[in-house]
Amino acid sequence: MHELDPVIHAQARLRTVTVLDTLRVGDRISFPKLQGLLAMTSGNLATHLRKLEESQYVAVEKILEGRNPVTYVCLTSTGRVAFENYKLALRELLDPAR
Amino acid sequence: MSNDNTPETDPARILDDIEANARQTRQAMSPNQLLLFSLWGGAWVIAFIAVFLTFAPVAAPLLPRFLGVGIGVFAFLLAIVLSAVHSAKRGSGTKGPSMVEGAIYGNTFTLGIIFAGLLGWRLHAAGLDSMGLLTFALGALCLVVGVLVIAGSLIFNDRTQLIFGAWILVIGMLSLAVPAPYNLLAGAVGGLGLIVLGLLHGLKPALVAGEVVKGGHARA
Repeated sequence: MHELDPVIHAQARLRTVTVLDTLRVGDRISFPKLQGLLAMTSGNLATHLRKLEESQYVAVEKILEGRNPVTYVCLTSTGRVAFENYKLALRELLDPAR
Repeated sequence: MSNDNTPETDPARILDDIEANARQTRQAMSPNQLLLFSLWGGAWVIAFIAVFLTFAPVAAPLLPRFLGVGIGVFAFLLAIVLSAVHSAKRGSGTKGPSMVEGAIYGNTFTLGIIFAGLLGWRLHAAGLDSMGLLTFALGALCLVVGVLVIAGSLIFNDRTQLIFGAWILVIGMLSLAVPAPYNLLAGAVGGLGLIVLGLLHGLKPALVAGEVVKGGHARA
């Protein structure tokens, strides 16, 4: 039986990972767009993204668009597997016979 | 799902929240189907009826040709501009393979329509009369749109698009079964169908939305 991943289990990070998981593999979302979808402050989101990045669940990339620096975020393959395992662990808690 | 950082403890509720959050995110990042289908359905109804009224009644058509065609062109241009702006707004802030696929798909649509238009122009120059051109125009439009939308439904694993494409192909075949200019009424019926599809997508999504292939492409 899988343990619930403490990195993902925090509410704000769970919402963040859920949103990032809706993107297709290889797609990235800008920080402002992600912030808008999550309705979080930039400081709060940055803190949670840092935690997810430290666990190698998300990749953060800063690029220049024209003269403006824009931050893009995506879920890594490690992050996708961790999220699948997290959901599997939840289903196992609901039905231990799985 | 609450905004604070206190973890939820009920597994069923967490899974429900994940599903609801994912659904809301997909909706927020995808074009509003009700808006697009209403917009395009309205454009088809207005454009084809306007052009039809330049031929009917036969003895004294209700609209002069330039006005009917002008209304039709305006309706389609308005639909193109509004749907492009709306789709671009919803898709902004993301990068990656999906954007490339979307651009190729969208440009193929444009090329297909231009191709059909040039073919119609050539056929007209070679002697195809106005009635023949009407038959060709609606048939070619439905063929290009129907086939590309069905292809898109498989690329994006989207059942709504599959229904949309199939409906347009049916309308195209219906238009070929009716002599011009009455074939234009098939186009107006096609537009009404799009409005109904948009309403069903909004009100009864279980009927028309979801995946084409269960567990297929992740984007649906």
